[in-house]
Amino acid sequence: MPVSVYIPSPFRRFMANREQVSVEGGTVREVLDALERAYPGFDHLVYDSERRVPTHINIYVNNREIHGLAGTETSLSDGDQVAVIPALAGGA
Amino acid sequence: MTSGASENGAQGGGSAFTPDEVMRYSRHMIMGQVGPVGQRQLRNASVLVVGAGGLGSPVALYLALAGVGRVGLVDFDIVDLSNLQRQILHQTQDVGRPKIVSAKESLEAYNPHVTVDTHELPITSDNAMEIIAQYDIIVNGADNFATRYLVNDAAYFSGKTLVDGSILLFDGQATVYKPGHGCYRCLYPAPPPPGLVPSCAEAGVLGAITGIVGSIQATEVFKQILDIGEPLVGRLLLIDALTMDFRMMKVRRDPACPLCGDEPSIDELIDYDQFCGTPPLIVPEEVLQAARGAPA
Repeated sequence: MPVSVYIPSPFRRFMANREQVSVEGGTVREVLDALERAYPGFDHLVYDSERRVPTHINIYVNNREIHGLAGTETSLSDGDQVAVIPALAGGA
Repeated sequence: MTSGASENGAQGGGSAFTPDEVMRYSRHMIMGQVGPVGQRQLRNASVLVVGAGGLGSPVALYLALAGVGRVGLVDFDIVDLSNLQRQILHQTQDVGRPKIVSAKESLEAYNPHVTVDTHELPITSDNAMEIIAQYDIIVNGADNFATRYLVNDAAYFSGKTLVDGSILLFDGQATVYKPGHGCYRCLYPAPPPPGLVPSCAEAGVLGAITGIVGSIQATEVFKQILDIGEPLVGRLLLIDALTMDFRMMKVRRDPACPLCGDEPSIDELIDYDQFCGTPPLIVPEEVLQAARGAPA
């Protein structure tokens, strides 16, 4: 099923400068895998060396962070909105 | 507006607003949500702004313009020409001067009725609690993860509300942490490895996004002081300047949070450079000397 993924500007240079990407996936993990296939290297943005989502990255499904759901095994439905958001340090 | 004790804010004790102040703040005081009583609440409030840069500039500016009685600034940086694309408290003639000095001058020029406290020193585990204790509300405009975690932890230990904002490229984030309702560590339990997330100096930042996020932070401060509206507590506002989309994410207190969770493991400020894997801050000797002679 198609799922829309929001890409924030810090990640866009790795994603052909697109702010929305539509990929197939029934879970968050499947969506992340699909993004890696479409944009090789995406894994390095959202996984650490042990293939866990690092704690400075939050993934939201319909505006809810997945740790409060079922993590990367969170099921997705047609039309769900996924967002991959990194912590930002900038203030100056 | 007619004159009188209730209209000029004399009720509740303290001095009445001068005619100049009544005129200056009239566009706030005329609103029912503020009024003379709210304007007095603003005047009685104190707010610490960490960083006098991209975010700190618009935050401090709007706080001063609105008549927040005491605005504190923490910064030890020097104004650089590359700051002037966004840091609106500093001007061309300020290049080479301490930011804290030009910021104070700018704020006092905008509104001589406010008191501007300056802390020209790096905020560290040694002084954060003492500095933060002097203010009602804390605003985070730091430019690095180590300071962000430090300010978060110190604000939590102090029981102070932290109005948080961050920026990079065309994006901004804003939220409000109130003790008991989650903290920065609930949202981002640990920082990225050094070098993975670039800074604004490394990747760039749209000057105007600092104004957007800083204005939102200032707005949240006003709402806290006036106790009006729906604060950004439990919500993370994501701003994308390129699409001009504003997204609101739900933020929850994490029961496993090492700071504010059910079984916290952090009970005092730590070494944040070590925590973030960043090299210790190198502070110019003249700044250290000035800090030693300055009240924290």
